[in-house]
Amino acid sequence: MFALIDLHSLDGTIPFWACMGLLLIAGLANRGLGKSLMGILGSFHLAVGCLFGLFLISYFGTEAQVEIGLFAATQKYFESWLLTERFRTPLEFVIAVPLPGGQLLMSLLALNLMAGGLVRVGRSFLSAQNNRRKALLGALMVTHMGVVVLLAAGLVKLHFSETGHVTLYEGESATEFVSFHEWEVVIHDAASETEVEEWIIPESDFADLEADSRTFNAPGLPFELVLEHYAANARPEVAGGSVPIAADASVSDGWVLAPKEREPENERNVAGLLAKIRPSGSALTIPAILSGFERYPFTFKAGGKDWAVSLRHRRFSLPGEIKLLDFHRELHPGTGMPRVFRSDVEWTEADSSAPPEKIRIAMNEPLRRDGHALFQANWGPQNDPDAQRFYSQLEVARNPSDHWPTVAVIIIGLSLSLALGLRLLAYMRQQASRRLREEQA
Amino acid sequence: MSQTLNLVLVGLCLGWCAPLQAQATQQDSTPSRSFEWSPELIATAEGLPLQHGGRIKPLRTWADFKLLALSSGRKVKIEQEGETVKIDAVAWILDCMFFPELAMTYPVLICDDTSVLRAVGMDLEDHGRRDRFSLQELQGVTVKLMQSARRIQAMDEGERTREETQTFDFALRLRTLQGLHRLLAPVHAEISAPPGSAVEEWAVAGKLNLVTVLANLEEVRDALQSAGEEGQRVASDLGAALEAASLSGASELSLVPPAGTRTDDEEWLDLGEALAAVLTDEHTTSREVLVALKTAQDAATAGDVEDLQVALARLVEVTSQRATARGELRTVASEVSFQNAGLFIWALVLFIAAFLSGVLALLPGTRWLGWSTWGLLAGGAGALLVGISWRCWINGRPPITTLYETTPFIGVCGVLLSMGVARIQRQRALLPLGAVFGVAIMFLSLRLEQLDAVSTGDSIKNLVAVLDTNFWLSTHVTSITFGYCAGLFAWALAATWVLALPLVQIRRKRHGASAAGWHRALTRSIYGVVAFGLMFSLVGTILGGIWANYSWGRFWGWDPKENGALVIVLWQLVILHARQGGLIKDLGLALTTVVLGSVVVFSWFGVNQLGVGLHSYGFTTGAATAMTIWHSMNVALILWGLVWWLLAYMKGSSSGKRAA
Repeated sequence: MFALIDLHSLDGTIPFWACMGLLLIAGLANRGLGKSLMGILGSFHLAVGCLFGLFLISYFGTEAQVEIGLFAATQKYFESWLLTERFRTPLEFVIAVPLPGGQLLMSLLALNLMAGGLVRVGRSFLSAQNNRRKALLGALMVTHMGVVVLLAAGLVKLHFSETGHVTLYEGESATEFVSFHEWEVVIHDAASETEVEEWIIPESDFADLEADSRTFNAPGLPFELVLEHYAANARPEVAGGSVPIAADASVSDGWVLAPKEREPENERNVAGLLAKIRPSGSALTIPAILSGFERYPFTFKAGGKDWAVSLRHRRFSLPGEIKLLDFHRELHPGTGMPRVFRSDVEWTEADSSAPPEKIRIAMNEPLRRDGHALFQANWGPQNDPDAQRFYSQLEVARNPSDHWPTVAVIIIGLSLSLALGLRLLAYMRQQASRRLREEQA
Repeated sequence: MSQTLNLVLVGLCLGWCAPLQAQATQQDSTPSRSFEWSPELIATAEGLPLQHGGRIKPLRTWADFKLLALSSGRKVKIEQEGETVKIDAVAWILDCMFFPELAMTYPVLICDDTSVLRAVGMDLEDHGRRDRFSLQELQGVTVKLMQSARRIQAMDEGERTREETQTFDFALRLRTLQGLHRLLAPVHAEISAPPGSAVEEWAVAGKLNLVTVLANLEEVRDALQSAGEEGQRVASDLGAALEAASLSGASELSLVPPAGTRTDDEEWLDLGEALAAVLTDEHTTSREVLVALKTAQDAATAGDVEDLQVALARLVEVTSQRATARGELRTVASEVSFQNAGLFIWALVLFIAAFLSGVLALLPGTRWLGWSTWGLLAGGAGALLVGISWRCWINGRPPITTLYETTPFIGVCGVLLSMGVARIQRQRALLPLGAVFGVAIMFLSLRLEQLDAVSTGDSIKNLVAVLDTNFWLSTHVTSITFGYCAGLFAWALAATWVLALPLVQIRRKRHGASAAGWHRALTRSIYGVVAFGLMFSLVGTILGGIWANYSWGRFWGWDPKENGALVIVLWQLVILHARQGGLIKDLGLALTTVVLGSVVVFSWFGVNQLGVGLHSYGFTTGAATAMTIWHSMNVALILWGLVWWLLAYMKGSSSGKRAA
């Protein structure tokens, strides 16, 4: 696949981290402004502020899931830099309070951890005279390091991971997985019967086009594509039919794209947008409605060839081919409670002459290959007791920081146990000597 | 011909033929029992294995939970020869089975608000606002109740009023109780066999019992074959009766292990299915179970206790042998002992005694009582530890797999924590606090056990597929629950610290600033327990993320249950860093720890109330009021502490400034 424009990674975090990194390096020099900044960044005040802020947004973000759903709440509270929380008072008076978002708080906390938990504690460690105190400070430093690893894992996951699903009926196979949330516009040669070359426009390039339009072109394409009227949830409807059409609906060829209210569960939102195709060297404009509902792409002629354009969930390549051989489920006897569900699959490595492997994927037993992990996620049809053929849905994740949390929990568990144990021993020793003094007195 | 007859019977069982003609045996018109359920009879019956809720368990467990769900109690109080006596759950179930008309007079069904019954026209002169009713008493309003329940069922749960919800729940439990009195309906099923009929030989008082037919199938078949047309007519009647009996025997109580291996067929048969299985598969175990039940019924009706004992023992032997052959009887006998031991109740009693002893030990001259407090607390904790371990063995799982199981675990850990802190701080005054903690948690445990009885009829449950991993249950869940325990025990210390402020002030006025050493010890304990809890909460939360990564493909999804664990960690970190950085002093430490109590309860129960998220196996209902009371109490504690601080500050007390 070839991406026309790809802006989906690293967005606005680079400048923030660059500035903070420079300031941290200046602080390490332990002089002037850098020293003052180090004091602020490594302070307990900032730590408590960040932790309290994270506590608040975690609470609000949890409560909000009842109303707006998990996806929207995650975006609003945990993946944002700033947010506004509205509180309804008993007199129906709404108070809007600006709050720092999860990204900002976690970034500041990471800096605080580095400046306070590592640099400041590290200096105390170096200057400590007592071996027991050295051990305690060392353990605390390592604990903070573990939390930094954890936060780093979250950052890497947020910006560099790919998640989606492969849904297969028994006997079917796939080499791609499909995103749950992201969309893309895809263009390809409609007449090609062999491997298709695709031109992809990622959602990040048209998600802001609710009121605007943007023109896309690429070498090899004998036309321009204008995208506009994007709606995260929309339905194509017949213009002037029995369904009342909203004033802002986009009309094309007797059909309109009617925007709908966003569903709390993001998987139920089906995106739509309006496309205008302008063949090169022609004054003609071909309008099209692109909707996630469409089963077949919109086709048109340009440059003497048939072309197809469609809107679909974003697709990612798998590092091989997966074939579902058998799906199996068991219920606890006499109940409707699932005990086991698992998929027996055949995995064939891409670009390899190795024979296919037969593998079982079950709950808590994913298949891991080349940085991708495939998990048993769902199955169906669940409402048809007479179903003879089942499908299995495997969730796929490619996450470079997949195992970092395991490293973090080992670091934190061991170091925190050591730190607490040392503190407890020191306290008990102190109490014992106090009692001894009292008895002697 | 015999094969044809079998096919006719089978065909009739499948519902091809004649209308229903079977009738349940009519018991004696005066409901009575001529003997007592002796301990020997109970001991024999309670070990009867059965399948319920997806697992094999003894009749004892099933009966205990059934009674708990229907009556909110563990015994049935009945009038017997002018005296009030209590019978246990197994005796009650045996009455439901063998003396259904007598059992209908037992006041079993609890109604939390009798206005529900007044609304359907019941006279409640002799009943209180919350009372128990017998089926006999409810007969006059049963139809109206069921009509109301059908109307309410059609409504959305959110639209129902409190009274409608109670009416619906009561009607459901009423239906369950009615079903219990029909448990042996297939054993009672019979057809008319007048004198001179082809099957007269097996009939009693002109009635031919179906189980008797199945017990003598070959002979009955021969007799019917030789009786020509009349034989065909009786076969047709038998087929119809079998069909009806099979349907009437459909119940949640599956008593008969199937013929195949456990791998081939896991579902046990109820008595209706057992009837059909005798004919279709010539299932020996089904036939033997039905015959044993019929023999037991006859002996019970005749008041022949010895025969009844033999028949019940045969019933248990038949099912146990088959279940053993299928490898399903590993823990049934042990589970009977576990239920009868009542270890968790013993723990509660010991904690109450420890509290009384601990309080008395604070009085001058009663130092020796301190040792008894230690002993009673250790005994209670020991009972809980043994009970938890025993459940683990029965369940084949780590200690915590359900919300209910968190409570004994938190109870024992909290009590042990209190003993540890009391030992380190050399403060005996902390022992009664540990006892109160244990008592409170065990009362909560009893309440959750009752909720489990109502919702699923058991507190040992099967797990959904995603939870089917002992490694993560024993690491992540145990750590998180220990974090809850430490948070709650820290809350108990902090609440004591705040409530004791006036006492401290008085002692300081009388004896100087150093008088309240125990109060400072309490402060140090709060800090220590919060720090100790942080380790478990933090490690447990990260382990949960790793588990989620293995199950769902992501470390962290901001799911409510995950966030619930996170807010505990964050608040513990806020407390420790604020204290370490000097942002809060003693009062601040205590008050923020009081808030920790609310945060822990939000995570433990509150997020389940939201009804969203992937952790749908933890949902509970009806906890909203209790949580509102809990949070309000914490607000009151905080206000109490702040008022004290304000008063001390206004008086210019240095201790007040220092404490803040």
